[in-house]
Amino acid sequence: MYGTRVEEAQGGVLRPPPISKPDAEFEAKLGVQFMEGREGILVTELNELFEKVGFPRRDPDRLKIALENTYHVIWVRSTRQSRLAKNGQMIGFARATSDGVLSATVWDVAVNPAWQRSGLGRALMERLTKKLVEDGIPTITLYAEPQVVGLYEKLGYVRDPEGIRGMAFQRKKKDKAGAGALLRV
Amino acid sequence: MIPSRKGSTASTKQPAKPSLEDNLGPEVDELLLLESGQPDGSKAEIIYRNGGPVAAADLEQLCTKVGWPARPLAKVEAALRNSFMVSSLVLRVSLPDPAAPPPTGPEQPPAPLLVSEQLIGLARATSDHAFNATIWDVLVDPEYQGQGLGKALVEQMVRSLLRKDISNITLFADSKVVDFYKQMGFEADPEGIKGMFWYPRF
Repeated sequence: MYGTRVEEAQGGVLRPPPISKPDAEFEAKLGVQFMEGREGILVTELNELFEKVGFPRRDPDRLKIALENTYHVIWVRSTRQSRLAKNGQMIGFARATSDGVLSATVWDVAVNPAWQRSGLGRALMERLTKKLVEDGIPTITLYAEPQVVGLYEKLGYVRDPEGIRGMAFQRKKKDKAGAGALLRV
Repeated sequence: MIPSRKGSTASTKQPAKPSLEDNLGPEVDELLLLESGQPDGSKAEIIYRNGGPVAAADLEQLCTKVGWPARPLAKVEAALRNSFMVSSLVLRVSLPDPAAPPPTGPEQPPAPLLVSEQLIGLARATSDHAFNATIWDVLVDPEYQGQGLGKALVEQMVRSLLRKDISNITLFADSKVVDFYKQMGFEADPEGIKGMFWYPRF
């Protein structure tokens, strides 16, 4: 059998991950808010964030298309002017593609390095996962670099469940960034 | 090995390993994979078809045949509709129409054929239409397995995705089929990157 499908987890309705720190705490302590949807996102700003975290910059037109065909986007916006960010600046991002009913995959989880280690990555993933679970999508997946596998495990993601392996088609391209940069979250 | 003009032999280069990326050509809507015919004009064809329509009920019937748990038809319908690409394997059988009179001689037009189609394989991919795609639900009717049809199905889907400039083509493979995908050019855990699934714990 050539199946790549995973049996629906635990039948029934899945319970979403708890939000460990509420929005109000991030607003008060860091001066940031969580935004849903792609409205207000400038691809130039998104590309700058990608560059800061070491992702490849994307062709702006294709990035726009990608956003238009993404199921859900959650991003982090600074609500104050500070030495670390302008008011309204994007400092974190995550998105998921999906068929809307059966499966979803998370891509491009990025937090500005100056803002890392303050729980924003975890916060983004909790909120994005919660949204996907509440939409009734039973198969929620991602591809994690080795150094973030532990973070996602803490959230409830399981690596290689029942021996299922994530695979990617290997391009011949002279892409210096390699498979990792395209694939990583 | 062709000697260069100066008379010295060119060094032997290892031929590059053929890849699904090579010679993509124009998009393919249908590809005849197998064909068998009979003297009476009846024939069976197995066709790769890019794009639907695929009936959710046909797909679920196939899923049951391979032993997968059933899924609500409405969800399957929506999943197919919201997939970036749906590729199918179709068995097309053409039989002489039993209601029509048989031709009385070789100069007569051949007996009309009744054509029926049956879904015998499928793969679908979700995508952001620009960078990433994930292939799901790859299956071939057990009656037709063992003939390289699954390989043809996935290869053609990969090529279709590459033609659309989707550069990151991913999937999640049961341990038993990891080698199947490796042979086509997929790599497990590239650069140590792990596939992960969300299960509830709380």
